[in-house]
Amino acid sequence: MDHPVSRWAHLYGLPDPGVPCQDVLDASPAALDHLADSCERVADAVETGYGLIRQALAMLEQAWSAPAPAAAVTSAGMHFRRVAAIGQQAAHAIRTYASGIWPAQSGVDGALTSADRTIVDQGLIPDPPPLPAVHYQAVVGLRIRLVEHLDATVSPISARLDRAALALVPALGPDPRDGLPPVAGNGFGPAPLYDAADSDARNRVRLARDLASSSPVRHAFAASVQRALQRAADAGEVVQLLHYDPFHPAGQGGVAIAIGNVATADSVAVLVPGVGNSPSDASDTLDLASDLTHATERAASGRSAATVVFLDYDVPVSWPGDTVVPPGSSAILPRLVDTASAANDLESVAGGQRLAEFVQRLRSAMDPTAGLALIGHSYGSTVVSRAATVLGPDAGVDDIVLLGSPGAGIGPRTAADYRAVPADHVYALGFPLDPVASPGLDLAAGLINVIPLAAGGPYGPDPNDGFGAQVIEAPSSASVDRHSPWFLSLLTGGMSDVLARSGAGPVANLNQHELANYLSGAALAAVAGVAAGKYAKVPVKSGR
Amino acid sequence: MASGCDLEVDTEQLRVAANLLQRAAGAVAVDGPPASIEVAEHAAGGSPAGREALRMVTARTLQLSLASRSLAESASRLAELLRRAAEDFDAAEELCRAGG
Repeated sequence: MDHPVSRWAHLYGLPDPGVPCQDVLDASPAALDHLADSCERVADAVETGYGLIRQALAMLEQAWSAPAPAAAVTSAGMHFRRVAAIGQQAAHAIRTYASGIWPAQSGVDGALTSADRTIVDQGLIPDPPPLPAVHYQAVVGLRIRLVEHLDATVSPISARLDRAALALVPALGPDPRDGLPPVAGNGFGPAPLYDAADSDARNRVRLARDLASSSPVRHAFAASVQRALQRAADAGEVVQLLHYDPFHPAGQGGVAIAIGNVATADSVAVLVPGVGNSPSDASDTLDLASDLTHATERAASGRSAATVVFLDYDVPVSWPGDTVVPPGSSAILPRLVDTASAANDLESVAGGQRLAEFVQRLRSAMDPTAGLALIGHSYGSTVVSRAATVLGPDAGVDDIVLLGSPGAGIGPRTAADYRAVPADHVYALGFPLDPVASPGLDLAAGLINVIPLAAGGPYGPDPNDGFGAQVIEAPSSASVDRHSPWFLSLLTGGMSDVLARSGAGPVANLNQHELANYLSGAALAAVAGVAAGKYAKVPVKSGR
Repeated sequence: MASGCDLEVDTEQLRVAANLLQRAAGAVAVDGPPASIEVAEHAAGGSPAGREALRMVTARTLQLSLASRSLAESASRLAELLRRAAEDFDAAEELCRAGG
């Protein structure tokens, strides 16, 4: 909403009262009355027809004593009567709802007018406020109070209208007993189950509320997400906050952030990062999502693309970046549990389900002709693999890409076992010196696992070897002398060093495994080729 | 005078009943159901609840329109059946009178 109060709400990290104002002011009671008229006209006409049918029935019963013709006309009469009643009921429900919009709009108008008057009377414009600084502080305080006051005034109005809208469900919701013909969607196309722009706006309102929250947990999480969004926006990207939850899953919070507009993009990729990532520390991953978005656009000769970073599963070893620690817990225990969870694919089961649900919502918000690829890296590849077994062939997923994968997890033994995509749309890439994509990780993880292992090891079968996937042939861009985080060295690099010293092969290094390595150079071009649906640009070999 | 060929069906009244059914069909036959309903996306409000409300309102409006056409077709079909029945009864009576 183009109003100073909206601008200040964003500036000071407060809930934007412009959102509920706009929601209410956008409504058109006249348009709804017009639809009610239409329902009423049908109801009246059908009522007239019902009267004629009753006369016809009386005449028929005198003319022909056979029961079947009278039964047929009686049945038609009952249909007429039912449709007339449904039409009257619909018209009444719509008019009742429309009549509640006028006072709601009047209330919002009044609140905005009052805010405008306050702005003028108290000299809250221009922006920035004039010096001296003492005056600046006072003006900011007044602005904040005005934003909060307007929000407190209009939010209940909007909420009341929402309740009235939901009350329409019993009167207008589908009921098979009506015997009415089915209608797909709303008559002007399939109904979107999920609207990306709307979702972004609402999640930003929640983010703003958390920024102003007195809860340190909420505030810290919101601030970290806000930083990531701001950094991407400052880089000139279109950013959509598609999911925002400060507490779930398992206490670390969850976000799904798109670089690019998923509603209009010709190609959408969902990127699921793995171990060591945190929804509270998504900036670097968003940078990589930007790279992938632009590479996909290049691969598709300028057609638009978007990449969603999905961090709404319980990412193992997320705690170095997390802002949220479960209340009542000491920091050490959750961290140990979080680290140990990296040693098997159990988190991927719940994560895969969450990803599958998100993908279903996302798909409904996308252009039906747009392509959709799920790209998982490291532990995220196991999550993607799980989602591809949960989602059916009608889920609208075109390809899956498993990068630096420790394994395909529980379920699939080969690429042909996925329900969401055919085997030739399953792509995998594991660099030779990536310790996570090597058998060494299975050995290391096996040492600390206390649970039964999935077939093929704690992470399931290797998608790069005998799995039937399209194995991407692209060299690593990483050097071999960078420092690795200790917690991942413990799980992987250490074992690789042991294997190397025993003559098993060259020393692997975790920098080979990093998502940045898989999304750079020739590998990035190949992954972007898949995301763009330009399969001829993807170099593949028959198997590793 | 009644004869052995008089059937116990009053075909004239049957035709009147058929005409009433045809009028019922004409009463509900609107100009044809619209292929779509022109209405602003946020006509019931911009919130998710408002959008859902509009989806239901437009769906029900279109559904009623489709139902009305279906009722018209049904009444018209019944009228036609009664007319044919009346013709068949008349033809049978003629045949009987002709000694067939």
